[in-house]
Amino acid sequence: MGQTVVEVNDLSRSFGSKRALDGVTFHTMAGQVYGLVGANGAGKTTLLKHLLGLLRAATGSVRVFGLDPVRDPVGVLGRVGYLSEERDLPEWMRIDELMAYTQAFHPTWDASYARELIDTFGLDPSKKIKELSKGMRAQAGLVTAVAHRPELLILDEPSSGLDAVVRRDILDAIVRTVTDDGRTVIFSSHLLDEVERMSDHVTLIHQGRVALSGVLDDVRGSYQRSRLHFVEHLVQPPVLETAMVIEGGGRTWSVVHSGSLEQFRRAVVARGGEIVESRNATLEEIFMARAGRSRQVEAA
Amino acid sequence: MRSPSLAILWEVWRATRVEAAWKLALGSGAGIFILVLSYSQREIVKDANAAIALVGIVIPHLIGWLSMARLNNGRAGFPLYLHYTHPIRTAVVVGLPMAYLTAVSAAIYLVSALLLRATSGYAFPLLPVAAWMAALTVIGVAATWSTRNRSVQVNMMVSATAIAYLISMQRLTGVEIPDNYDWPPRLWPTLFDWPLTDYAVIALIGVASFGITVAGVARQRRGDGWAEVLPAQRGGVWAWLVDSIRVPCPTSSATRAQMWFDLKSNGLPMLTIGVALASVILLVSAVSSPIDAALNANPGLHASCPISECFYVRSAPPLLTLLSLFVMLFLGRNPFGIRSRQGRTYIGAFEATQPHGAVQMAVLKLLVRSACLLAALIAIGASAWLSLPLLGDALFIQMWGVPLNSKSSVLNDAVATLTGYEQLSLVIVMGVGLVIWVALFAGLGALWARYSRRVNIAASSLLLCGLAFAFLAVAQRNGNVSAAVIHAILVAARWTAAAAIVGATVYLYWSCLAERTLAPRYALGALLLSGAFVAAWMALLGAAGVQFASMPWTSIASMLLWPLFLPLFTSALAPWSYSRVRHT
Amino acid sequence: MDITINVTDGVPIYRQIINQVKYLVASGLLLPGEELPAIRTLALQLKVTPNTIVKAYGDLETLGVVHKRRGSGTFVSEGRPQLAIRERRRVIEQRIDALLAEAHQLNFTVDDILRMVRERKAAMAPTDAEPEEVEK
Repeated sequence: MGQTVVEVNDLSRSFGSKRALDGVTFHTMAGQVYGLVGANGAGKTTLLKHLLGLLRAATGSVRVFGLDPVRDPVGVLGRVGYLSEERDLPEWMRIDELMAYTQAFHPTWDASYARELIDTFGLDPSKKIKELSKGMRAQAGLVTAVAHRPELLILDEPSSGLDAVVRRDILDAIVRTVTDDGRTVIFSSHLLDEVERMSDHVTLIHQGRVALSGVLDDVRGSYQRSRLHFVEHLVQPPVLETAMVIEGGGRTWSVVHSGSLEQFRRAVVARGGEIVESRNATLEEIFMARAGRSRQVEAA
Repeated sequence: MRSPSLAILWEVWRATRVEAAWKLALGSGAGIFILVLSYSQREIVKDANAAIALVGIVIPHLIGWLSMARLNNGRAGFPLYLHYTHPIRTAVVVGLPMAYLTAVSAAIYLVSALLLRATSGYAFPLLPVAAWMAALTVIGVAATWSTRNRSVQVNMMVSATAIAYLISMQRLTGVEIPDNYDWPPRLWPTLFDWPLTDYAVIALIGVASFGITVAGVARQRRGDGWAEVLPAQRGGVWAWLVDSIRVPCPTSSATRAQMWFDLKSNGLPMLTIGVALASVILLVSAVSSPIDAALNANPGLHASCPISECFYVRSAPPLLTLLSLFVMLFLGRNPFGIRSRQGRTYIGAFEATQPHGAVQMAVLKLLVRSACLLAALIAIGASAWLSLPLLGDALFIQMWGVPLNSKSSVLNDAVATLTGYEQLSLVIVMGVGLVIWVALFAGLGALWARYSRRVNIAASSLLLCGLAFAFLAVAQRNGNVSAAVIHAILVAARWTAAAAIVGATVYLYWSCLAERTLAPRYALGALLLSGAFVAAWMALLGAAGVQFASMPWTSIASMLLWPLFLPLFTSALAPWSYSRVRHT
Repeated sequence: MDITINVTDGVPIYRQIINQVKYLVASGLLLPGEELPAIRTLALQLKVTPNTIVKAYGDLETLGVVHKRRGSGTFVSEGRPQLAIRERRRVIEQRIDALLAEAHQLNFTVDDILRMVRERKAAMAPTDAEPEEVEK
């Protein structure tokens, strides 16, 4: 517990003229769940691919378990379980063959655990991958990722396109991985309520840069959503520093703001209004504020 | 894009422009090169080379359009499936690309033939053969696009090619010419002056293919039949072969599991197909003599045959052998499993994230593929060898006027006179040579997948240099340029090539060792293998009569440079390029 | 254990768990000595990360509401009536704060509110027995 599992320092990567990652720093500790969020094309999958050695670090360094995934793929990938976004599996293999094949590469494979998972998911071991539905493919991929008890589980959009039953299986796998001997999970997702529940730390990547990163509760605590009530009828949104997103009209406005609540209250009062209600912002509101199309001036 | 038709045409042009350029360049480049080589030779050799050049500019059109197939990863079926959800009629979305590809194929042939005409003065046939190239292209397109069933596809293509071959043989060998092949260039204007009914037939073929393709694509669009919803039925013969190999995956070691993976998904099906082809060759040879005898005895048929004994079925086994070799080489492509989808080339995430070193994966895949390819080629070669006596004495290849059987006995005697050591050397050269061939193509393929723009630029500049040199040579023959310039250029080219391969090998090894992709003992092993290859090569040269003792060391060095460095270069290129694709 | 988590609340999840456990203990739905669900079980049930449960249980132990028995699990501590009173006051005080804020918005004074509370109580069925007066 407490040791660094993933250490990404100042990583940059471009594809042609497009800058996919720009000076990204990302550290993970053992035994925690890390959620990666960001808009489509923000760079989440690119970052995860660097961790697996699928992409070479152009500038900066990537270390998993202290090893370079490109130089030492066996040392890194042998202790990592990965579920890719496209659920890439060989179409011609049967499920039992897939298990045997993956087992040969991982000496820590737990055959009884694999069998238990296959029974729970209701998969037929003699079926070929190409005959499986999308959900069953995800389940088969999940078994190969967790059955060897990896120290690091990397899931790229694990819930995309899946029904609630399979989504639950994936969340179960995340929970089990973390509670068993403090292993680490990194997952990227578009479903912000899922990230909010399942992450200890959250990292928001926007246009290739880390927009915010930290313990989830701290991050949520540093953004508030307040309902404001103004004496006069305002046509334009009131200009308030530390405000990130302002919605509403007339005399009632709803604001997502960062920084201290007291400072914001003083700014509101100075503008001629009062705060009716204030609570911590949800992850979705923070996401829209940081990564959405900005309607107000970005917070300093 | 103001209209959907223009948009589709633009899309097809973008997808195929590089391939079209390559077909034009390679076809005409090879043709010009061959013609230039034989410029100052005897008439007969020049004529022969002209015929080879003609075949050369026809062949690129027999393989179809690979860049279209790459749009959906080489799978059968309509490659422009992204248009299914657009408001456009199936006939338009099929007809426009079909017409475009047909026209471009015919145009490429026409331009190549015109180029060859201009440089050689021979009357290379223009419109008739171009029209038939168009017909073959349209049939190929129809075969690939109308159905997802690979066996139907292959059957259509093979029958079409066979029929085309038979028709062309019948037309070209109509006049017999002693001690030459039957269609020398001086006869080309009359030989290739085909009747107008040909064009009617071609038009009919075009319309029929269009109709079949539209029907097939409409089915795919509606999702009937071989839809994505029923994936269990997809795949055809290859998938059936993969399924029928019921060997459980070994779990004891990663290397064995990976070997099982490569054998089951590629190696063994390929080998089975090779053995099946070999059996077919033997079978056809066994029945060909009696069938031909019966056909020759038929007076009605015999009247159209100008010589005493015509070859009908007996001409099939050599053709089948050649075809089988091409099929095996085609199936043996892409050992690294590089996929392409809508222009993106990559190694799938499943294979790339297995905890196995890049070098081990690359070497394992190459060895498995080479071993299976070698076995298949040996099977085909053995069956061709065994079928020769079955074909009877009268069979000969007319270009050289020498009966095949006597050629085979010459080969037999030559092999028998080799000592045991030399026979071993022969085996080594052939075996290692095949591995080098497979590895070289795999490495270059991976290089092209990863750095496609740079490879295209380098290859096209090389081709341009070659063409420029060919024109220089023509100018030299015409007396415009002195022979000393040509000689100097040749010497410079040889030295540059030698320096290039040595430099490339050194760079690749240094890069791999620095990144610790390769262990030093791998380099040592590669060095030993190259040494063995050179030794075997020298033994064979010695058996062929080369006296090494009496040659200056410079000529020995230049003779042995390539056999030494080519294995070394390939042994570094393959893992390096695989590692570059796997860790992009 | 009947706990629900609301992510839109603005309250951190571990805090919600702590509050609800305290409420359950205070209202007697969780008896002293009763075992709380295992971390993994509760995490699976609530679909939250186990570390949140770990944190919540840890804070509850610091507050003295529960105690961990090594290897066996987490159990509710034996009776602490003071805590129960404090907890119950806190729940009501929260509602009073919200009520007062609304009242201010709608322009009612505190006396109006007190009057209305009595009126509403009288209008409800008089069969509910009054609990004993709680010491402030």
